[in-house]
Amino acid sequence: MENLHPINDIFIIIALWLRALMENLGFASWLIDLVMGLLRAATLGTVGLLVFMLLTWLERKVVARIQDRIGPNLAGPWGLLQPIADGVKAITKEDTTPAGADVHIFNAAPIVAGVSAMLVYGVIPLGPNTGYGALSGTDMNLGLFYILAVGAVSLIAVLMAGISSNNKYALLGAFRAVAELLSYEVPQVLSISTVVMIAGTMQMTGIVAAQSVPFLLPLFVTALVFFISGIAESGRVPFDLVEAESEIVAGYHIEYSGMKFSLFFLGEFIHAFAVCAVFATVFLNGWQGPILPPYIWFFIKAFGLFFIMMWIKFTLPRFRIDQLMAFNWKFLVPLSLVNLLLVATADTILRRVLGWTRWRMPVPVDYMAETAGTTWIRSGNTLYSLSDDEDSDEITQGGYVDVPVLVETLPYRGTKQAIAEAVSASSTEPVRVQVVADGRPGVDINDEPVGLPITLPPRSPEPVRAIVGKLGRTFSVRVHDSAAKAGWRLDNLWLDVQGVR
Amino acid sequence: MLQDFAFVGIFVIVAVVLLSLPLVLAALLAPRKPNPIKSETYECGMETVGETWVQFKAQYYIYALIFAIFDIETIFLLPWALAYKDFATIFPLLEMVLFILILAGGLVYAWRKGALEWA
Repeated sequence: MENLHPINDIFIIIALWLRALMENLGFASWLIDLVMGLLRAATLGTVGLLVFMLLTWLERKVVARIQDRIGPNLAGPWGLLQPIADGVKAITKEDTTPAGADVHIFNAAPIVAGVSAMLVYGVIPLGPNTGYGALSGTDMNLGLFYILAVGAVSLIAVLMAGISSNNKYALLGAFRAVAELLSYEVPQVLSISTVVMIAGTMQMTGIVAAQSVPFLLPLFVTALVFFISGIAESGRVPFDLVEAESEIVAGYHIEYSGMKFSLFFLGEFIHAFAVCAVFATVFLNGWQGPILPPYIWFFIKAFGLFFIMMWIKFTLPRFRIDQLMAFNWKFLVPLSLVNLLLVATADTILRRVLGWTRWRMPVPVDYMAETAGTTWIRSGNTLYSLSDDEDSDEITQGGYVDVPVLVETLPYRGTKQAIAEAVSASSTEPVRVQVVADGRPGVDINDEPVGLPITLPPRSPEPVRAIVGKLGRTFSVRVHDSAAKAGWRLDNLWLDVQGVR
Repeated sequence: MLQDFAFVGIFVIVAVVLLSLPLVLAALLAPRKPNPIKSETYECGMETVGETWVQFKAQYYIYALIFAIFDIETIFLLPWALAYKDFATIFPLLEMVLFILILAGGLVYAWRKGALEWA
């Protein structure tokens, strides 16, 4: 708990407190997990609805400003309560069902539209993993794939609405949905494949961790393709042929009224914001940013992107359907195919030919002290003792301690070699440091040991550096208390990890 | 893994409940006075002529076919992209270049045949 920040990690702290509370009340562990899951889901759903309300207000304000109007300004300060007034109106409006409609599918379609868009929020991380799980609904390792999968369900909602309405225009809207939304899925998946290739993972927190620079810079074309196809996927102007009012009245939701119509509206907004949220996570470093808490940074980025979307929406005219299809199949798809090949080739040249795979990371050894004959090392959340005490879980035999290094989060997932660099300026005793790969001293490709310990002389301000670990996927730094004496201290420990070609 | 998808299951239920609530509220509060004219098919005031199930352009079907091809391609592409960092040699990259070139050939063929034209 002590390394959690009271503001940045406020949600993690609340979750830990609730968990501890339920443990004290004697709840079974599966019940605790269930309650926590329900709470997370309810929070995400509520946040989604609040974001939707804010977005409707924001969009009306922005469109008004772009068209030189003031926009809603009567309900509450700056018209902020307008979404609530709209909601009350939608709830009390008569809800008509056309004769000849397939009632069950007709009623289910708006819910499917809203749910499919909302599900995307389940894997978007709002903050870092501080050792108690990421600040997201679930940090599944299939994150991006899951987003693609649930995002595609919104298409089914459009089809359900169009086909069940028993209306020619709704049916035409559904046909257009097949043509447009399906087509734009291809460049979207291709651009996501490019990201997955460079990040080496589909886990959302992993993708954020892989961005030493925001992916927007090295993968600019990919980001552009993703953004354009994302706008098309959420069916917004200039790609809103599915509901083009000048051609097919209102498209697939022509027969909907009252709250059901609002749910389609909600689905569209939430889907568009989900595209922004995914873009912010995948291309703009996600929650990372200086000074402000991570979740604030995330929302700043996502809302900024949504503003760009609104800007596009209110300045560009609608595509004609032949232009729309030609733009996708004759421009975006070939572009993203070429882009994928170019990125793969460039990355291979940089990494395999020029050896551009290196990370330099500090090993978090931030506290060392000796009490009653036991040496303690604190690293992150764990306190390691360096003693022969049989009861402790953390002891390792022979008077050394392994401080784990999270190399697994590095973007390069192949084998790596590590070089340790240590400074012992304030130590009065020699310290021996060794890098351990996959739980044993490093070996080279012929299984010959190469991970020899380096000895740091006392009071040495110069860093001592040696190749000490090789061909591993997880590394830890092993500190030998060889002299078994008090007074040793490490001032700085760095690990230079390199991908092995 | 199982916990992740258990959460997704919970989230689906919570989302359905959250989005059904306003519908339930509307069902309780909203007036309900259907009449035959109100529940007619809405076409901006015109009376609808003939069946709803009109004939439509075959082009939609062709686009759906092309989409199916490229969607299957992406199914092969994603696992490859995920494993990309673990490749020991350069050959998997060459194989994917070959695979994409074959598909690009298909796209060029469809293009030349006029399958991508809306007319």
